[in-house]
Amino acid sequence: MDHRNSEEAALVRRIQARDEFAFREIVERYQSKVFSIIFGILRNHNDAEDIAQQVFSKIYFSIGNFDFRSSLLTWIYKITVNECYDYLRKKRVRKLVYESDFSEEDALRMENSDTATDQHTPVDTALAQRDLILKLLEKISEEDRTLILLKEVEGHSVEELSRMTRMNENTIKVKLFRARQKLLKAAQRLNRSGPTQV
Amino acid sequence: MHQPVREELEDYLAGGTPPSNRFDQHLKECAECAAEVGVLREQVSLVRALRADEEVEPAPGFYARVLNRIEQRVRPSIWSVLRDPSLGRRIAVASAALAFVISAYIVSTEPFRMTPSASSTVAIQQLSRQDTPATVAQDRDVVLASLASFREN
Repeated sequence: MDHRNSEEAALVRRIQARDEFAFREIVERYQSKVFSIIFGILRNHNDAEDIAQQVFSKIYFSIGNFDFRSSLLTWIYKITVNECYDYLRKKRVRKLVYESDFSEEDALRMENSDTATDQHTPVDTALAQRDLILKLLEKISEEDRTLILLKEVEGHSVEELSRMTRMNENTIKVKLFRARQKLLKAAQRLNRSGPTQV
Repeated sequence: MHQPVREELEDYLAGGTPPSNRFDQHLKECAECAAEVGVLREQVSLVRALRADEEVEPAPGFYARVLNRIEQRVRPSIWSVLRDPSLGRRIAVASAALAFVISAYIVSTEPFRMTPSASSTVAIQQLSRQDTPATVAQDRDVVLASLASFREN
């Protein structure tokens, strides 16, 4: 499928020509999708609003570089997931800076309380599992990550992915297989360095 | 992972179509593939947990907030102005123009001064010799006093 001749491509060209109405149309068409992707990853409404604004601002500034090699949705999806990971990285750095201010005693107390909750509540187990898979997805390339998420989270078939990315179905299958293997290896490395599952 | 499993893996993990007998048979015979497929299924269920349970809509006015954020990025801050490489050039041109204006002002308001030359000294002396009523009277007194003193002698 050629993404250059679609209705969406015409819309993109209008934004590239600085047509504000076209940009508004893109925001209104994809805002719910972008919010759902962010919320699925972060589970926080306030953060979702901030990141979604950042996503559309990025779309506005970089749509000039959109080369129609993939569908607009694939491109937006990639930007959204990257923004989520950027946010998570910044959050981790902030946490490290914050924790560096604690005394050894405080740190030990926090560590013990973390372990206790991890062992007992199912909500925290689900949270820990989500953290783990997010961490593993961070270890693979942007392209692999987007492909896995489009397949498993968005539920696109191999055939649909082939149309969205303009790659043939076999290539998609090979790429998915390799991405899954990389995730497994990342999990094994993580298992060796600490007590985790998968 | 062996070829029979590899070929059908995506369809199997997607769960739509039942796997072929060849696939099933291989998993029964190959513990390594069976274990790996088990782990991959677990991995898939973890990734699927990232799916939002509900459709999430932004609060009203989202587009306006996006535009606001874009404007904030477009509007230059004081620091971005200072980082502008053309700023130095502009400052240099403005300084040169200011120096020219100040010099022109000083020159135009300065009283006329000239270094006296030989001819001008004579002219000045001649000018200073020009008689005024006061000096004429003074000169006459001097002459009269001289004449008087001459007669006495």
